[in-house]
Amino acid sequence: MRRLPLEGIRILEPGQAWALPFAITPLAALGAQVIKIESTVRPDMSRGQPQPDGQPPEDYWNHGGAYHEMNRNKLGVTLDLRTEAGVRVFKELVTISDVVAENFPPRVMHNFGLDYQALRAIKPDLIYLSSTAYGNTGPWRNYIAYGSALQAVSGLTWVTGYEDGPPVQGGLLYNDVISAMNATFAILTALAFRTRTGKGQWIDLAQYEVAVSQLGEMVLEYAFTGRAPARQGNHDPALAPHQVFPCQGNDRWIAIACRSDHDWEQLRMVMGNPAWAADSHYATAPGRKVHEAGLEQSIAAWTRGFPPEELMQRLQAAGVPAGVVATNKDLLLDPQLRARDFFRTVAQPAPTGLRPHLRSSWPISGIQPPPDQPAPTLGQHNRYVLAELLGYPPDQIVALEAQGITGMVPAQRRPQRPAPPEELLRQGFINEYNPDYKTILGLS
Amino acid sequence: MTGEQPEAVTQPFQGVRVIELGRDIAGPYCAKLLADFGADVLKIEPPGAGDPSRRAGPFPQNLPNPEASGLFLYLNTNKRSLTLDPGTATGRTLLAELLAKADVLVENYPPGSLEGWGLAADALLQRNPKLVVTRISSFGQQGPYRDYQATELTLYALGGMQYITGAYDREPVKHGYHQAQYVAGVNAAGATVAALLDTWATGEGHVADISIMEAVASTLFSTIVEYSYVGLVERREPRKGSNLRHPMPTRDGGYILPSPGVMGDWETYARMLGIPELLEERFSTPGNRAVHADELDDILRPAFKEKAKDEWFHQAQEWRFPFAPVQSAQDIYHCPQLEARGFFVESEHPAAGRVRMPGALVKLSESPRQHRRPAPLLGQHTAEVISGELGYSREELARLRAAGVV
Repeated sequence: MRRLPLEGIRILEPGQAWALPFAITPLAALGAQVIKIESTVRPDMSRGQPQPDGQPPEDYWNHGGAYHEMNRNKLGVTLDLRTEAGVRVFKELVTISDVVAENFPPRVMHNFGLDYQALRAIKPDLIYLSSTAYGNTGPWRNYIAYGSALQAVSGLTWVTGYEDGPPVQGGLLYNDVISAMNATFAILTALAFRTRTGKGQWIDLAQYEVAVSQLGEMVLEYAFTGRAPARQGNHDPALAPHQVFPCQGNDRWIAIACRSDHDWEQLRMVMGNPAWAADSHYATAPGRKVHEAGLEQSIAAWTRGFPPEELMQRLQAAGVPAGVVATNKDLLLDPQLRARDFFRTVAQPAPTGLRPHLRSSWPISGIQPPPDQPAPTLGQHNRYVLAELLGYPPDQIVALEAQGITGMVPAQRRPQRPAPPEELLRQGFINEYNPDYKTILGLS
Repeated sequence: MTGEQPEAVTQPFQGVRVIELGRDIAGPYCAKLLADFGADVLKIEPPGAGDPSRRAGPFPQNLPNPEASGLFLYLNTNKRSLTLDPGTATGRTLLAELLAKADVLVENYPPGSLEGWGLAADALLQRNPKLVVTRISSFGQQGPYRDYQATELTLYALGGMQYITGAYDREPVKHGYHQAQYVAGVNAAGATVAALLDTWATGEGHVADISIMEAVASTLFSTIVEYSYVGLVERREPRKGSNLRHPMPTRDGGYILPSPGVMGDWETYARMLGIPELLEERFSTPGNRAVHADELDDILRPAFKEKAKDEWFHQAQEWRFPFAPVQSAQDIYHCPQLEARGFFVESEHPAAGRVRMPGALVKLSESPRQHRRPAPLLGQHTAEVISGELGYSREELARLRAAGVV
């Protein structure tokens, strides 16, 4: 079997939640041996929701869907880093590792005696990534934030929303995920530098800064004009129509964006050349922009008669940019994503069983990761790592467990029971509940 | 990358030759990340018009100028520019010569474009077996949507992010600006480096196939599992209170995100705000607060109006609550945290003057980002490359210019 690009690289991941574990997912798929470090006192919070069928089993902490998604192909170890023995084991692991990646607030690893300065002394070519909300320096360095807060601070919330309304928060975990994607790139970049020079380094990733980096032109607009850009809904400053339109069905929508007068001509044709569309106001982009409200009403009256999938096909056949406003269910069933194997079925431990998971790395010719291994149960690889990698004798392994420094069960059990789907539906938190979702997804 | 002196290497991608057939955002952002960490990126632009982002703005004093578009300046720092038309036989020959000596090709033209120019990835790898080709497209290089037309709006819709953003009873709304394109760009950069590491080890080139729709869908994994684990189709949040997850207006006309945090203690939260009413039974648990969300908002709204967003931010952080001000571009431009970390870089550009823009994506202690050169003028390095590096004579270059090839 052909080697994978990161075979022989070992990564320690004392990471939690979303912003860091998801960064390591592609690296594990590309062949790195990843040791995820948790503790029985503070298991990764992503082990919570959602649980299979919304029913937490006895060992609910091994069945969180988001946890499964982010932690495939990793080894799971528990270590209480508040103890001397825990820190000693961690340091021994550092001496045989290449990368440490963590996302605690700056004080935490320092207080454990496990910051970059301390670990570089025992592993000079170590690559150490610290992913923090605001960075390891500056007046806000000890401030805390979650992904949703970073969306607000980075300017993304300010520029998101309806023209006539307040700033809107998008997907609540969005900034965690982009922090992760940028961390993946940063670690690979540091590995490239080490490959060429033999030198490790410290990566100080501020989640705030990577978010602003994806809004460069927004910052320059202020720099150039002294004007802070405002919200514009789904609109484009010059082009129309440029909006999502209601379709047949329960809260179904289609996005349509005309880039040119030609696109508009094609849209008219697909609509069957209705008389209203021949209005000379609509003939050019500036005219359509001025009369945008009326234009949108008329288009919506047409789109309401069709399901969005049909409209997308008909508009695309005429070369007009159009796309279904996809739900999470639509993504799982999307023919394009399916044709490209974007989802892969993985057997998670019972009772979770077979679930579709995202492709864990990028499609690159000649680099074919093997089928995914399920995410580790809590402390699943304690013995393997201590015995096989560090050479601990059985009595020491047993002693660590007896002292509660390692373990396979959370110190405190806190199963969460979300409101039943019928109640979520009634309150409007969800749009649809499919008790037969497994059949729909072809899982049973 | 073999036989080099390690001590002479100060940047991760120093000496890595990248040819960018990029335009707009996704391809240029991918190549910019490589350039910022040392790669020698040669950007190939169509003669005459150049990269469409040159016409996108924002422009200094709102005066359109293809050499001073803010989007272009930001995405193309540290690169060189060569104009060349790959649709002509001579242009194709020149490009093939450049690619024969390159380490990486980054391209984001529609699927089929490379093939149409006679530069199919397979053929490129035959001539240069160590080449890494990173292709970015709306939907990927195969599949039923391959040739679908797309814009940022439709990709955001199809990628699933839009449906859950906005008000419950209004149309879904997209994030501002171009998140789909940027997310694809950083994924493409990651894939490029992974492929390069493999090529350095094995001598074998690769083709990476990045789909913007997939990059957006990846940001939604936590929403996707709600369906694949429970069967729930998520929607925009119902219009019932802010649930402390949405911006609250502040005294200065701004907004604060007043999150009590995942582990936040509600009694302390009530004490910090000085509102004993919050300790009543109806607000005692997250579940109760969701049920009485409107009443909670009625109490909190006037309270948050009493201070400016920054006052709330710093006060709450002292109490260890992860409040966040909703910052505009103006706030960010003057942010003391970004200032203290030297996040913005300032440089002189021949057409735009002094430009201050975001600098290092991340801080690498041993190989920090270098601001080596501002974004190039259109075709600024054409002579340098065609004559200096490919060895064409001045007369040949003049002929190519006259024929509109470069």
